Amino acid sequence: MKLNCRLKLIIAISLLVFASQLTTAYIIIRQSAESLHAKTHIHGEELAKNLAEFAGEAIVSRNLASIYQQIQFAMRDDNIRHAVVVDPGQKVLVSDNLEDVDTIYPPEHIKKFYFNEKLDDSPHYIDKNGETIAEITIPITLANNLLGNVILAYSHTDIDKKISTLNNQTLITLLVGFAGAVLLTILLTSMITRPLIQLEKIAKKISMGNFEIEKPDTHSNDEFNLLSQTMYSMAKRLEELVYNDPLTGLYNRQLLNIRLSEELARSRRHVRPLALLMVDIDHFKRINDSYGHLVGDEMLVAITSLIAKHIREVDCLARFGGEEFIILAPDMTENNARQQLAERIRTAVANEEFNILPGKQNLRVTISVGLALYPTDANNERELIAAADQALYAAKYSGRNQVRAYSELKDYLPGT
Amino acid sequence: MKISNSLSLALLIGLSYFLLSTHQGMAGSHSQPPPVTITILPCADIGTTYKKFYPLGVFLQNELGSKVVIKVPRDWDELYRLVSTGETDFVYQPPHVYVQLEQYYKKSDILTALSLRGERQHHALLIVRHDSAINKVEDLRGKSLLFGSEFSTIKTVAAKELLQQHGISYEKDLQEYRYGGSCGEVALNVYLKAADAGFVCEHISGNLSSPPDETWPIPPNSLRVIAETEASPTWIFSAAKSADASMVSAVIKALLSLHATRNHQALLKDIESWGFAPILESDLLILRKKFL
Repeated sequence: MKLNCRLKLIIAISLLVFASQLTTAYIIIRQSAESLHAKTHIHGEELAKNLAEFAGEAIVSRNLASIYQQIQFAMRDDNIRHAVVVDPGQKVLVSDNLEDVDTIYPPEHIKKFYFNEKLDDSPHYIDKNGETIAEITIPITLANNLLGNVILAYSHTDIDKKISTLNNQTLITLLVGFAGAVLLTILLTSMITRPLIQLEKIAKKISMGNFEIEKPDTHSNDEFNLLSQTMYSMAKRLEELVYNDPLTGLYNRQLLNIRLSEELARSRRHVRPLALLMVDIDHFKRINDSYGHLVGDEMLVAITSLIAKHIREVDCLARFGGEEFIILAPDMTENNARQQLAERIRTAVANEEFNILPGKQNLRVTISVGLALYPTDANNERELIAAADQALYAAKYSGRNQVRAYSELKDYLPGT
Repeated sequence: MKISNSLSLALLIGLSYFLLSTHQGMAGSHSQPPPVTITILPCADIGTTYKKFYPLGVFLQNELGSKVVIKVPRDWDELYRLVSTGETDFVYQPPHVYVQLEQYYKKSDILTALSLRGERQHHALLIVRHDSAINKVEDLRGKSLLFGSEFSTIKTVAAKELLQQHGISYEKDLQEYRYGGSCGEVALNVYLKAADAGFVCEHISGNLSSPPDETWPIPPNSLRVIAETEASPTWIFSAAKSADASMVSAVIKALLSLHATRNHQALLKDIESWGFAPILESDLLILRKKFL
């Protein structure tokens, strides 16, 4: 599957954001877990130290009941699961559970392990309720004599719950943040790639020969807009090269074909006739031979300029080839009107004196015009041009400098 | 250690002033009657004794409309000073203490705090661990023993008599003796082998076989009774000679009404009494004969 530039950008930025968020979340969770473990451990250690300090005097004064009261006090902490005072031989002197008194600590069923030495270096074990318990041991000393140990066991359940809550909250934040980042990325990449996509569409249009593109906004001066403007200029220049005759500036045959197809379609759609006038300059070869091709070219330009003055705005004048031109005249329902247009053009050319050769006499030329009508004379573009061509031939054959309509001669044509 | 005790006493007295005055409220602060001072002899440590009698102080304060100050003396000297100089209006004490200070008290208006079972006399029990080799008083020779508070009639005075009756001198024949705290502390220390035996009040005998609640942590039947002291009249509430007669009358009336009110059962339970009753002349005669 090929990914476009926008999708690639979205995926890349989203992955980058996700990776960065994931790393941050991992660091936060890791630090928080370490901090929670440390906090709980320090708190437990403080409790155990206080208990050890108190127990020292209580053991010497043989008031173990007061140690039990202190143990009860320590047990008020929700995390503390077990508090024991043992003698140096690990025999239990006082415990939160008085049934343990006189037994040896730890009981055989306790299997100790180290949970995570980086987080907590205390020995741990799993109690009968399945809870992970950490154990803190603080020696009871008085005047450098070891009287026993305080063993305080606290549960990891609260820490685990807090870490779990933190994980959930972090995950939700991560997902919300990620969703936000993706949306923002989509928005940003859309903003960045929109002009590119426009350019791509323009390029596609041009490649398909369609030069009807919107003029870009000239107020913005960003790189994309400048590129759009350049592309617009390129397209317009290319359009000129592709569709216009370089000598006369008229539409060339390629564009004529396009316009003819369009006009025929319009004619069919609106049930309106389309007249096609094929114009040929009489004896044009003589001008080229007598005065040279440059003069011939100038004559072509002058004649087309003159013809252009006598056609309507809706009419289309194109160079068909050499000294032949075609005029597409849509919506001319009256026979007379078509004929008059052709005659008007012919007369205008015939009466014009072309001042092509400075200091010499003006040149005069005539034209022959063949006229055909769609749909009366033809069913398609090809037939219409052929009909006009035949009418032009007839005009030439009849002596030139005249207009002939295909409708006049089709009765005499073979196969009609 | 002495400094620490004095400080704690001073703090407690100060605290009692503050707390009791808070209960009295703002009304009538300008024409306040003089405070009523009650001295309570400790049957356990000072703090525990104060906490046990604090509700009684609040009760009397509400009944009398006067400030009630509770004082817990540290030792005999302090008690003697409080009584002999008239610094206290009332004293709540074990009977043998009463007999020795009787000259400073009014002859009338003497109450006795009945035992939890409503009896005028009570005694102490000598307890050991269930697995102890001590089965009779004579076995205490060379062992460690916990008496009650030094002020206690039954757990200390009567207990020493019990030892003497069995030919044991507590000063010579015992390996060690100490004055313990409350009955619960004594029992727990015996259970924890901090002492081989100890004296406790008779009212906790039921706890030994069936603990009443979580406040009694000792496993059932882990302690047993091997002897009991002679019976002695229960604690005595007496008024100092210098105390105002009308105030004394009001306090006595309030104390005698205590048992009738169901709301004050918890208060009475705290001070381990069924209620108060006027002392009988016959009891006073027994006491004078026994302790003078």
